[in-house]
Amino acid sequence: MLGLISSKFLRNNRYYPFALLVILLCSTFVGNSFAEDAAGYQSVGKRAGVWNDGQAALWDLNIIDHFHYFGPVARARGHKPQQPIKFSHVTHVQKNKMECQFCHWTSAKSPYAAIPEVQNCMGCHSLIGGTTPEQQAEITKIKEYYTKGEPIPWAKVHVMPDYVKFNHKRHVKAGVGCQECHGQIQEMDEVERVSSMKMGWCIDCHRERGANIDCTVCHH
Amino acid sequence: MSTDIIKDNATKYSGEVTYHEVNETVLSMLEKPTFGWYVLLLSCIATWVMGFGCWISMMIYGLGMTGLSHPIMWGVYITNFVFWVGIAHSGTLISAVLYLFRAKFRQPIYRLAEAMTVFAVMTAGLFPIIHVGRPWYAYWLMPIPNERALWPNFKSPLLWDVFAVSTYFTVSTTFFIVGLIPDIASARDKAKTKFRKILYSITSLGWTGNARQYKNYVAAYLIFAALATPLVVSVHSVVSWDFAMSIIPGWHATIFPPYFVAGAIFSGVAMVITLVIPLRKIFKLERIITDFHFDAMCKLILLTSGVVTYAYVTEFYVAWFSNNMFERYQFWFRPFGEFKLAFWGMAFCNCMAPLTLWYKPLRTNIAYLFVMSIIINIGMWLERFNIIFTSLARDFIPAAWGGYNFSWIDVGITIGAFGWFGMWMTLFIKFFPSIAIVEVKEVIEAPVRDPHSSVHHH
Amino acid sequence: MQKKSLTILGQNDNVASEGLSRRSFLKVLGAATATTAVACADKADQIIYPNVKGDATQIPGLPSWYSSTCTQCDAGCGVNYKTYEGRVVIVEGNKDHPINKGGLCAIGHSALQDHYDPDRVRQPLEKDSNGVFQPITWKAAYSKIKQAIADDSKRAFLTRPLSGSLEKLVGEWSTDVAVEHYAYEPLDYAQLAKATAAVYGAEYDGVPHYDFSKAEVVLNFGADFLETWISPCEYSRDWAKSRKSKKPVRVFQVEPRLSLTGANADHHLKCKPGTELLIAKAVLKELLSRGKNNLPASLLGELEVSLAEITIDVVAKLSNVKSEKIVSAAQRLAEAKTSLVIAGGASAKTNNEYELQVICALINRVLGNVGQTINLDRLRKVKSDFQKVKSLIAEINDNKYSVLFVDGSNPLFTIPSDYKFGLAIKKLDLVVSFASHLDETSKEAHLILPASSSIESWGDHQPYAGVSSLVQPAMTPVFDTVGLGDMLLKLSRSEELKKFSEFQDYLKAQWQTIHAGAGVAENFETFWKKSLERGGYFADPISVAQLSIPTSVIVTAKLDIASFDSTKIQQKSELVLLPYASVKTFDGRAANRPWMQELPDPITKIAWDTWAEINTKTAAAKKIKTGDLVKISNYYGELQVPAYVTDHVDENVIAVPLGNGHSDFGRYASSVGGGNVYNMIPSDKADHLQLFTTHVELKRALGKHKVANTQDVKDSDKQGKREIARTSYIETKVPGAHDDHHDDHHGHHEPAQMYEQRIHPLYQWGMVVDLAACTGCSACVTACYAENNIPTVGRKIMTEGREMSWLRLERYDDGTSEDLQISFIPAMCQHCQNAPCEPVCPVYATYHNEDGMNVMVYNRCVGTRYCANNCVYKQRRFNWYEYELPEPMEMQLNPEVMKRTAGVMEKCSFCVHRIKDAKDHAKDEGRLVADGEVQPACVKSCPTEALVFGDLNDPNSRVSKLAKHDRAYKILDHHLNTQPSVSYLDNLKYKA
Repeated sequence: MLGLISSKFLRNNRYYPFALLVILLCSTFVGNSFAEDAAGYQSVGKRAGVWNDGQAALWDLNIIDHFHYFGPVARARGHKPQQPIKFSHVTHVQKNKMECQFCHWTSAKSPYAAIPEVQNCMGCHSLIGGTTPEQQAEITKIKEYYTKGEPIPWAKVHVMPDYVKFNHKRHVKAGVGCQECHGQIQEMDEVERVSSMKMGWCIDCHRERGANIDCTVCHH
Repeated sequence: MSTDIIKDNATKYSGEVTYHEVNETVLSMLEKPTFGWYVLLLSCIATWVMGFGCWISMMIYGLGMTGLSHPIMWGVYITNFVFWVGIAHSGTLISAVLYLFRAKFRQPIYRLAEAMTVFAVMTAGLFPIIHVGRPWYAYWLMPIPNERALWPNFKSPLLWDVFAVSTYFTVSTTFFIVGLIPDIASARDKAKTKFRKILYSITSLGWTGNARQYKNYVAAYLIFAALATPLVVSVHSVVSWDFAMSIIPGWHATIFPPYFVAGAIFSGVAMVITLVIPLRKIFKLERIITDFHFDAMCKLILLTSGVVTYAYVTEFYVAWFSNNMFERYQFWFRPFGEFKLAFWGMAFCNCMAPLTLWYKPLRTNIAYLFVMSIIINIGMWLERFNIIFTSLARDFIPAAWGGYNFSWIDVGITIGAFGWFGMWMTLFIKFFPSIAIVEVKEVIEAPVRDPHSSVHHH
Repeated sequence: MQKKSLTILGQNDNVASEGLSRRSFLKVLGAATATTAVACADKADQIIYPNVKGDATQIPGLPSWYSSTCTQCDAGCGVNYKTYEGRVVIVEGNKDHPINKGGLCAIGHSALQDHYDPDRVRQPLEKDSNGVFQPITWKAAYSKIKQAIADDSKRAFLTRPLSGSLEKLVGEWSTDVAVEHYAYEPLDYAQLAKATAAVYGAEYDGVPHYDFSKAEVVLNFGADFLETWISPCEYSRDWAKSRKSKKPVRVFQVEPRLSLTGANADHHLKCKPGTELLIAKAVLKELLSRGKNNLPASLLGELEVSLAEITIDVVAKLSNVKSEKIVSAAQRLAEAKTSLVIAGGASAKTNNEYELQVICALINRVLGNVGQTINLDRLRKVKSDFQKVKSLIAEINDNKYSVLFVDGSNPLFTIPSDYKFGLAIKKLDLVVSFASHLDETSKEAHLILPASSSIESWGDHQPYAGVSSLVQPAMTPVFDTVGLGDMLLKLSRSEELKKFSEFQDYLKAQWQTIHAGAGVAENFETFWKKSLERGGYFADPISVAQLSIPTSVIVTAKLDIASFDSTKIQQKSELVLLPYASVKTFDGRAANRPWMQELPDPITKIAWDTWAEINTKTAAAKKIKTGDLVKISNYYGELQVPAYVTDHVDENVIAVPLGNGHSDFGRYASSVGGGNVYNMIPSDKADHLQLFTTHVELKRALGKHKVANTQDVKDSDKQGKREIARTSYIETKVPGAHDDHHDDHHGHHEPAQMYEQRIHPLYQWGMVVDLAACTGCSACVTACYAENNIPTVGRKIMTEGREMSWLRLERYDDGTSEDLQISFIPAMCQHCQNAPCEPVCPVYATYHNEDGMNVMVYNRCVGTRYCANNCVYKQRRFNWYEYELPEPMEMQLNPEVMKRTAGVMEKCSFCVHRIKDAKDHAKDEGRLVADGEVQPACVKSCPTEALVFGDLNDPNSRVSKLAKHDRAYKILDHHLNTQPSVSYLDNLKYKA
């Protein structure tokens, strides 16, 4: 086979330019399909005219970025870490119509929308034991943590690198809904990551709303 | 009569050789490598692997491994970068510019010069990446659409460098390859091993040497020569802007572009001599590359050396004339300060030593030329050292002044670069004709059928 | 700035006490610390720990402030601690505090590193039979001590001078458990107090309160009142207040070695060692002859005798000070309406210090300064008594004592070995140390009960009448330590002490009386809370009544010229060792703090080292050059230190800073060798430690020593005509006034611009540095290290010129020792409007933002270092390596500022995070940021308010007013048109 190629094809020199062209096209195509995988988030705006719509270019697969902080898994869309307690936003927000800031009470006060204290959970769950056995099992876990005086080791869903200073307070006060970044959180039984939270994605929104896009807003 | 003239020219431009002899000598260079060749190749590879090791350790432990420190933020690596870009120059000059000027002495040496260009740019291109603090982010300098929504800063001379050097690399490589095609074809026809047959048949892009191909070939060659010519000026001008566009006394000078270009050609020609002499010796090319060629190159050296010297003097004059205390201090510091050895070394190598070439016998004394060419290369390295180090060492704020001491990493990587360059050169010499058969043939007498006339001539 | 009392942290204590280790407790507090620089964010899956118990006032991500008092020296400056999630991150001066009014010295800032010191003793230790320390429980430790104090063996308790409730408690406890209490510090003010009592009356036994802001002329015999003397922040502030005024104070400094204070003086009289007394006497005589003689006749008589043989010429000859200088000093004093004459510092600690102090006090009397610049109502009591300590040592050596308690003052290091304390401590049956470090003293102890740092414990401090400031813990102990007060209470026997469960209660009990004395309407609890928030209780300044000064003064000591034989020195050219307190390590207590070691000494610019300042002539005679190792030796010991050759020290003096040469005490302290300077000092009969009487031999030792000197390149301390730090003479330029006299070098004479200029819609942040007020104390440098997580790189990397300091204190020395022209200039990123660094960055990692700031985005930086080349002020620092902090020092990292990685450029950011914070608050309240609302760390730290920060867009802001000042200029602007946002005001000096 190889012999045939070398004998017939290779000798016949006038095909070489075409051959090169074909190889080039293939490589580009393959590369682009990679690119799609690398940053294919629905939530990342793909509006026309925005050249930086979150799609990585062929040469910019951000392999370095992956190694540098998030690690691909934690970064990918739909990252759904195993939580110590099966907390369901559906039950709390959708069914029981609880306000986000009832638990995440610092989100309008502080840069961190802190995870509620165990005590905070107990505020209700000292009375509410849960209906189904599963629920009861989970709620007893909370009680154990509280009685032991240990914090619940929640697994982070949205990990920011240490050089990004995101301020929840400012966003909440500006009327940015939780869903705009965290997705339809009220419909999540398990919290998962829906936004790329890459810089282009942030900038996009800032540009649209005429928010400040000075670097120091997030980096210092 | 007319044939005599042609013949005289031929003798002048390239010894007493015939078509057949040229073919034989040049293609004989491609025959089975000797033991010596392998030794050379391996030692080159070993050298750059060592250099690579230095770079890796530098990336692991941080740039503190180098001799760099505040305020000397640019050091050996940028010096090497400028040095190698400079080396690259004369290649294009000889192949393109002299081609357009129809300077006939270029024929036997231009192929080698151009190979040198390509490999020198390949070497130079490494240094900016080695130099930066986070090489894995070096690709941020490319204007690529990305998810950070950020462009590079087109105002920065460094970015101009990226374009200038990459353009230069592309064009000179293409030009180089185009020039190679016919010779590769002839190598293909004479190739013995299967590997070489395949290699040459691919790289000769189906050259059969018919009239139509030849016509297109010449046209293409001319076009590329025309394309490459402006780059000879532009690339090193842009490189010089890295310094000229900044504000440091000793850098901030309008003279830099011509000064750098001249210096580049100066060093480049010297490097060609350094490479040609051993090649000529090893492959017995005395009859193709003659004293005449060396003589011509020496004249080029004399010219550029003069320009460079003039530039040095001008710098000092301007520093005095500007009546700017910082400039004045800087140019007092160069000859008398911490780095005075580098300065006087440069002055000797670039200004004084080449003057001996006014003496004709020395211009054709091969041994002397070899030494001289190396002296000039050292001198040109020192020139870049002077510009970069001394200017940074003493600028505006005395409290921030500092010195420099070399580290093994600096030295290792610098030497490694020569290994890298040498490896490509060695490989090239064995795999492709390092002398342009076609072009040499152009200037030698065409074979004459009439036996008498040939006898009459001998 | 919200402040809180500590009841809050009290609640969190409950959390801690719920069977949690310290680490996990911090996790509990640090709800979201995972995202801060502290918890490294490189892991893909991270855990986030919420609080267990809610606390409406401790909001994760928001800082809480606690007011307290700095206990680094006895000055008693007020401080505020900024805490994030239960970690103290920043310490700043308390602007409501009457002593420092917002400023804080370098050592004060470095208290944080003492607190987070990895070398601290982490739990109680007991020395086993092999002399190795083994951890034991607190219970066991207490019981052992209880046994020791059960019997009637003779016991002593040696501490550094204490104050306030702790002093009272120590007193009560000592009587309770039959322990004799001794207080000692090497650089005490006993002689000054003694002289004050002698001259002004026995009831004034203490250090009077000096007011430098009121004095027109100050004659100062070696007192380093801008560095470490008594209350440097307070004095610097007053001094600067006057220097900025229309009639700046004129300072004559008389000393054998140029101190930082001397460098700031208008007239520096470099005298022979010990001849200050002669000059003082000459001045006094001159003044008397000029009719300044409102002294009781008896006293005048005495002086008649003692000053008989004093003539200006003799004094001039002996002291090697030009006679006209002495006369002019006397003349200025005589002419001035108010003046001040002080003596002190290491160079005064000769065997005639007492006489010197007496003469100075007398001069103040004849000049009528008492009640003007000297306030006797606010005496600082001097508790250190070296005489008693000496007798204690003697008695221990006679086996009279069996048990010794020692606090963290490390007397074994500071008491010269010739006093045999080293031998004594070995003779004791039990030595109990409350030190927080394994220092020279606690190494000798049998039992170590680590006391908590002042950031972790309760206390209070009464520097002088009217100021009682509180010390409150800002976080739970980093290690398993207990406050000294709490320990003593636990060890007490008597019921009235036993009834206090913890020192906090005891303290409150003491403050009941203060509350009663204050005569305020509110009840105690509110008073207590208020005091906690304000940092203490501060009575309004007492109006100074004219004091009745005793008519006859008992000048006990003989006043003879030969008491310190300066003639001998001159003839035999003997060398005297001058161990002085530096702003880096003071008396040795700050030696184990990287910030302090890395801080370049303002005069010599040497860091991470101890050195010997040697006069050029002396050095030349012995063929010694700067950087050579020299051997300074006498019978008692020897030092091997690098030489620093300078004109600014007398030919007979070898000046060596105190505080380094620790054998133990910690990794950083012991990394600086050279030998302990204290041990060179011979013992003598004197009742105080005579630092400056030691005669030594000087030899050139073998080999060189690479000194980490940040300004050691040839000629780098000469600015020539570059006009970096400008000085103008007060005679030609009245500081306060805005007269129209300009020369074309003025910063606010903007050169004509070719291009359209940047527009700053809202703010344009800028700074003004008044060089007339800058002393070069380097507090700003340390504050910057703390605020911006700047790594300390250590000696080796510093010798390579790779220090990371964002704020460089440049020192220029263009004059000679005769006509001194030393100028200090704090240089940070100038945030140019035409910044050369901006256009050259290929990736926009540095750029100009709409607030007129030159921003550096670390995470965008590729590290081409082009910006640093092009920065004409050389203010950019490159991370040559990745620098790690030993646990638990990383707890100090400021979460507001990211930690930079290797290969990245960094520089001063004008504390952009603080600006962002202020804007955040302003936005919440729907207003613009007010003037003075934002203060970068350096500005906040400056004890003299030499640095002013604000909005240049606002014409009424302080900074924009000052930027238009007649003295204002911008460095290199008229050469390069960089248009910096930082303006400097000329330094001011009196010509003659």
